[in-house]
Amino acid sequence: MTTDMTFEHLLVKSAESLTPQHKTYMMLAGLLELTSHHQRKCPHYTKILQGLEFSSKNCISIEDVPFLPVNLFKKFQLHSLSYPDQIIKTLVSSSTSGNAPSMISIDHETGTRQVRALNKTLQRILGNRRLPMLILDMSSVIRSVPLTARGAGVLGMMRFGHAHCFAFDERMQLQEKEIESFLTKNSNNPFLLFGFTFIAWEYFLQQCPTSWDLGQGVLIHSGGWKKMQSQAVSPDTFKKTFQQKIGLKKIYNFYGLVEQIGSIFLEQENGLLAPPPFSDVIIRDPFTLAPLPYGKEGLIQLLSLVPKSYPGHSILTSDMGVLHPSEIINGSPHCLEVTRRAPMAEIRGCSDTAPNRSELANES
Amino acid sequence: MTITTLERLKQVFTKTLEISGSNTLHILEYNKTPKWDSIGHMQLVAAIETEFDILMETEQIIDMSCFEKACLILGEHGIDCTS
Repeated sequence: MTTDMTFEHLLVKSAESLTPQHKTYMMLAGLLELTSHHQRKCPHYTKILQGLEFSSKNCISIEDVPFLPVNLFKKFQLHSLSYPDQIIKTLVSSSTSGNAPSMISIDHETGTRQVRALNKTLQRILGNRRLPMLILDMSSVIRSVPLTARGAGVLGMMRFGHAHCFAFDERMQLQEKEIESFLTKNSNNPFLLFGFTFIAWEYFLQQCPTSWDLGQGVLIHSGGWKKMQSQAVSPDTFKKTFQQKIGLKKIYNFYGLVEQIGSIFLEQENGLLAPPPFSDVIIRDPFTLAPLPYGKEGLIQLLSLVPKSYPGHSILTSDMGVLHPSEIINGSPHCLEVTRRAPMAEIRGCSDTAPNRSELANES
Repeated sequence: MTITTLERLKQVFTKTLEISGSNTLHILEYNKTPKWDSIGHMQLVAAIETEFDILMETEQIIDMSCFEKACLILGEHGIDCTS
């Protein structure tokens, strides 16, 4: 079975009918096929596998699939394309701490896989109907070249909405008139809000008049909790404050990497993050890199069948997390809790690309 | 003479993607035409939706990779593009 067939199968199959045994089988087949694809197409990747003395014969579980540390994408623009002109866009990760950003090469096929994968995951909460959309960002964010992770996130999410309204001007000031006009037209029916966690909290909620009623809103947000934690804002406080101030009750956080756009781990009712049907996660000991059992904190490794134009199907992140056993969601019997950045890892995350509002005031 | 649905769709494409004339429409493909990138795609979707007063489904937006596909999608909304 080819990687396209395994990905297609997991994409089309109903997530409810996917069993852990079947998912594990399909994931292993798909990941090995991708490993072989990148081995053929990406010279750097070939050398890495040679160094690891990798042989697919020794791969009997997804834990055996080789992984690349996320930092490698900062050092090399790895791609698995025969011709560089197949690259239709290059995504760069956010990096505010002076470190080099990741450079991710996307071709038409992988771009389509990303959107279809995202659609599969979001359908669970949005259905197939696009909702009027309030974007908690400024319009210029989608026009940067190369596209930042923040811009790519907004642009990718825009397909799930219509009648788009950007909430901020170019100085990140709330565009109250535009938003009020949006709410007058749309607030009686469900509408979508999307933004990065820190921007949603620091820029949107803090500037939002309490007279606004966003009771019909569905907020999807992402981008890490680093800055939130520094302000002692827990996920629970985040949700409660949104509900109390502007009546927003439906709030979903998600976790994902710019190196694996399309594979998002969506927050469930239990507050944990569920792997999508075509992805899985392994927790590894930060020192020995051995897989850890449920309940133990370690480095998060993300596996995804989405990336094909670059070898990003198995990545060791610099985030720490814990896997918890759960009911079966998308064929996985576990959910992820992201606990913190690994010590010595640089600060990154889309939310962290925006300065604190006080910093912004000092700059202007 | 009234303008046909096909002509209206051609006009939406040529105007949004800033191309002169509609002779090349059938060879255009999403992400392979300078103005038809991700942003251009959203602009095209919005322009088609406004022109024909429809709301596409997300799947249709993903599928709309060329002019022919756009015709088919209009058909799915009960708008005949063949005449």
